[in-house]
Amino acid sequence: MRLSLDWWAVVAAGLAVVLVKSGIVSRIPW
Amino acid sequence: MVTQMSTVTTLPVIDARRPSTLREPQGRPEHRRGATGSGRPQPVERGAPPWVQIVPGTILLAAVGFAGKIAEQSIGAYGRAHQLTLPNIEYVLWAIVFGLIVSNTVGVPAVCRKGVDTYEFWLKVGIVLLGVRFLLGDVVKLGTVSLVCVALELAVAILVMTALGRAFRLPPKLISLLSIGSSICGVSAIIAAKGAIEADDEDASYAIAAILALGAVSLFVFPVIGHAFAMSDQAYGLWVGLAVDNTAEATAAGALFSDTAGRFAVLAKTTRNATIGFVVLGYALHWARVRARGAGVGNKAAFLWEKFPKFVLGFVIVSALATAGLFTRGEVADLANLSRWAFLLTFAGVGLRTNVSELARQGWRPLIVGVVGECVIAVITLVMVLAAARAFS
Repeated sequence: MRLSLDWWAVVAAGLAVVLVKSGIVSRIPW
Repeated sequence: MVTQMSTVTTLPVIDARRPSTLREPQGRPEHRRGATGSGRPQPVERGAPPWVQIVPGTILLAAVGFAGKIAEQSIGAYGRAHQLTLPNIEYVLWAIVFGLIVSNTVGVPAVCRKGVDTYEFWLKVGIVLLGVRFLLGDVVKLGTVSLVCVALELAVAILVMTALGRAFRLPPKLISLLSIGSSICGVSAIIAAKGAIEADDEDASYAIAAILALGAVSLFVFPVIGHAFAMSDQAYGLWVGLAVDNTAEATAAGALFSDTAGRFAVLAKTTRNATIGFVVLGYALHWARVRARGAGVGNKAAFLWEKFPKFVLGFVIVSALATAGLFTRGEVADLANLSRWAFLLTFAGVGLRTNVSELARQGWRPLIVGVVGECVIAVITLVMVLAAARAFS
């Protein structure tokens, strides 16, 4: 099954949420 | 200025809502046109996995975007060190300008084009993550205000563009595409509608060129008007979300005013994007009747779902999680910063995909219709937003 660009964006953002929530990624600078 | 036409030239065979990295190789190599639209055969990385092909362009996006951030910080630091009052030019504008310089001088290297095409992906990732900075109640409240304004804007934009298109004797399907592009969300809407109404590639190219040319101009004009009218962040963001057609340009034009205005611009624009299915469905049914083919759209609910921008769901879900208190303050800051980095790549992509020299190739009549129509729409939506400003107070 192919994912559209929109779904890929949701998946990528979801992954970012999981990584931040689990503490694997933290203190992102800006 | 127009965005380079590589997307348009491949419209018949690709799902343009899918990132280039996920597309099947299309057409014969000699028929593939580069991002400059020059028609030069482009080297194609045969055998390399898609994710490898996007790496150089993504690095270029990051480099241009980061250069914009460095420029803003360096000028600020220089001004402070020498006690000078220098204008604070945001990284957003620097990233776009640096991208424009690269695109219109040396050009985007062929090896980087697939990666540069991912700027829309980063835009959508940024929007989903931006949901962490909105409470669901605010989304509902502001989304409702936006939706009322969007409904009015849709009617105004379609009426204005249709009247102007007929006055300038543009082809009927080009008028439809310009109306759809100016009323909803620019390129995505035009691409979605192109297949639905069976428009020509050339008409889609004209419509996209006109919409994006005006989007580029809006980056420089809208913040000036917003400051001239002393608009609040919310009112300005709503106006940009209603009047600027392409989501990337709307996000950038909002961020150029202020961070808060950028958030509201994204919210208003996202609300507008959510209506894409209804408008495209309406035009699809209209053209099916014109062609006398009876019901051109079988399952309307499936059609609406297919056209619905799914990243909006992601935005609402993240906002709901934030509202439920799932994230600590530090996690909210981390996700918001990730959203900013994603937008940084988007702003670089806006510049890198905009080519001034393409303008002459697109013809002037559609552009005149676009310019006049967008100016009328911008003025009407400005009046509308100023009237709706009470809703925010």
